[in-house]
Amino acid sequence: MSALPVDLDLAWRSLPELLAGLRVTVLITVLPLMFGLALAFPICFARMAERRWQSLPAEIFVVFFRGAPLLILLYVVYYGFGQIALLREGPLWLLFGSPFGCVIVALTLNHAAYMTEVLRGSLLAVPSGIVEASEALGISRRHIFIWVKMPLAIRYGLKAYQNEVVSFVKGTAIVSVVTITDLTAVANGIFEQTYDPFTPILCAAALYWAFINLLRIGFELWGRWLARHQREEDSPRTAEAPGRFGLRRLSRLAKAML
Amino acid sequence: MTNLSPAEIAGYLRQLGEGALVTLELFLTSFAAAFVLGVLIGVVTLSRSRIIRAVWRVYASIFMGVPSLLVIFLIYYGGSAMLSAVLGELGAGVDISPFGAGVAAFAAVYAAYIAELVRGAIDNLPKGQFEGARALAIPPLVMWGKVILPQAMRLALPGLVNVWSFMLKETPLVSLAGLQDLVASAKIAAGATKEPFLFFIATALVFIAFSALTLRLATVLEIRLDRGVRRPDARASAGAQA
Amino acid sequence: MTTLTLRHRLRRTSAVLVMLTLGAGLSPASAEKLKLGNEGVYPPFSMVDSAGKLTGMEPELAREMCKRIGADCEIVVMDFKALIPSMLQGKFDGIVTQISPTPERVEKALFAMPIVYNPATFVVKKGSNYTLTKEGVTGKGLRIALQRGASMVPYIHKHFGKDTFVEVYYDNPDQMKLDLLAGRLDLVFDSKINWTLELIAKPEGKDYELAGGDHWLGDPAIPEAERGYSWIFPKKSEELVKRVNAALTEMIKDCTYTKIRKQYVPVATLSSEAACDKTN
Repeated sequence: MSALPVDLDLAWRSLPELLAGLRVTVLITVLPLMFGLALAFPICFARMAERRWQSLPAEIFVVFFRGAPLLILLYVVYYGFGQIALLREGPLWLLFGSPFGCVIVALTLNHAAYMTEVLRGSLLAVPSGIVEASEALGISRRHIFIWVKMPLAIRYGLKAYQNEVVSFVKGTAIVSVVTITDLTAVANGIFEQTYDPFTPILCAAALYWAFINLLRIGFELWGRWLARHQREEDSPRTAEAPGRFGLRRLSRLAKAML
Repeated sequence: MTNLSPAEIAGYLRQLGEGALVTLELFLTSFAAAFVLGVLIGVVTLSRSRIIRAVWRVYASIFMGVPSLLVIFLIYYGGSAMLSAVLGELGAGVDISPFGAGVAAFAAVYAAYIAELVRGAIDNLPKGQFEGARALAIPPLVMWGKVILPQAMRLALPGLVNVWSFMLKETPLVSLAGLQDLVASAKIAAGATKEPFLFFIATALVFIAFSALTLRLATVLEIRLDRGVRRPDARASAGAQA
Repeated sequence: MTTLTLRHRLRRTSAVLVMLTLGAGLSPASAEKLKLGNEGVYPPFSMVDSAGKLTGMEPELAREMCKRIGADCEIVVMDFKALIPSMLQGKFDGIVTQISPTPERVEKALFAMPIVYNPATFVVKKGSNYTLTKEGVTGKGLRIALQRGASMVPYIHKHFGKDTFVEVYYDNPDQMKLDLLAGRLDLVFDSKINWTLELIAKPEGKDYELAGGDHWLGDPAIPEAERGYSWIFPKKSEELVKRVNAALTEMIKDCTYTKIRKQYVPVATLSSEAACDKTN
């Protein structure tokens, strides 16, 4: 057997299946990211509250769902809840009966716990002086939060958010244990029938890499847009024509990927 | 609750204990390997050679952009084929166990993260450290070992703690390659006793407890390493780090 | 003075160690060591009890066979999907779990003689009345359980198409049973003997039945009389397979096979054990 026999023929034939798996992976990434972020806000507020009866449950939530490995969470939600007869008869079975629902629930809870901490760190990083100045100017607390704290928090927390999103995408690779056919599951399926470990796994790895780097480019662009007021003005001589995707920008983006 | 005798439950709990030892073994071995490899790679790739830096960028991009599970499967199922391609007949005889595949995979992936941390830490050291060592004619190995790296470790510590907790939570992945670790034992016990909640939540608590314990030790270590250095923004950086 | 004694002692110990290792290597005809794979979660053919010991019809048969061929066998438990790839990689000297002889597999490994006849069938909820043909299930979105790496998968793809069922993959029948009972599945396509004994015959299986008849998953070219699942071995082990076949034939003839089989499976699993089955 020669080194790394990547069967290009098999790779080409499996591409449609792999792409279908990628679609599932994207779906189980995007939905928990949205729900988890939404869930993170109230939990973060509770966490940062002064009253113990609010902050303690939030703390326990974060410690549990961040400290427990995702694989265990999936098992608990899928097998654990599946055993409760009461749940099986009730309306919640629509959610927990479907493996897809279980996966979304487990991933959302896990992501929410991480996002609570990212949010908390970002909010804490906002310089208190700016907040105090806003209060002195008589701006309401709600407005301070929406127009002063959050925009700054997003800028401070962007890198941490990006790291969490990338880790999250990589973490979704295990959902095949609860019967969801994501990209990894498709690759494994091809391996289990053809006994060729390299081709399907390397193809799947390439697709994950492409997806993750697309996300990273997105974050890089977002970060640049957020910091647009801080960018140095190009001198008229070297300024690029608006709308043209210059070579310099491309190479800077490429550096961001690697 | 269940139709099993306490003796049987005790039997399964004992299997869980044995599995926990395997997990611990896997985790500590992997972290040690990743650490040593990461520091080495981190130092070497600071070189001015363009080739080395390009290789670093490619390696880092690949291993930080691909799920660890795929790396584990690739090494476990494809490992012996890869070894026999590189080492010939000698390689074909080596049997890669799930444990070996797990350590190799984690070392390869997390060495990249650790190397990045080490590079960042060394970059943040005042250039005077290097210049002073050169002025005092300190041999390079001693300079790295006794001057640069200890200071770099102090700066990299929060990041290293992060890698520690993260890797800990990825160790269950190796059970999917067949390692009889804590998670695999819990799954068998849960299936046989029809008590998934009991065993899986117990397993989760073990991980959380271990993580919390080591986090506490890390804080102690951080305080100890910070002696003699005033870090006025330590609290803010720790807050943003979470 | 001390250093000399120390060095002298070290030399002595290493000399002793060298002699011991050489001696161990030169020991006369020690038992042949074989590493065999078994899936471990395929009741009643294989299961792991609460003490962590691998038991069931196939491990016991394997242990008896190893005794007869004079080999020291270590049976390793591994998910079914990983068994064949691992053996092809050289991790095992053989697999002692029933494997169906599909043309693709026969190309890659050596099959010993059939060890069980265990056709596949559908397991459905009583009263579901599915028409189990390609036309009958198209468009219904029925969720079917399949085992990863098993020949059931290409069989369904070939006879029912790739997208007719919603395929749900599992690592072993225990997981399938949990989900079937929880209502997450409409059908299971797996081996008849297992599901008859582990579900239909048990009280929890009162709402379920077998349907769709027997399906032979191996090469259709194999004549009916010779059909059965076998243990498999790497391509180069013709000698070993000859000895295994000899041992198995002996075991069937002197009814040891039937004796072991009766401990786990009440029905006959091979037509050749008919002679021993008189006392059934």
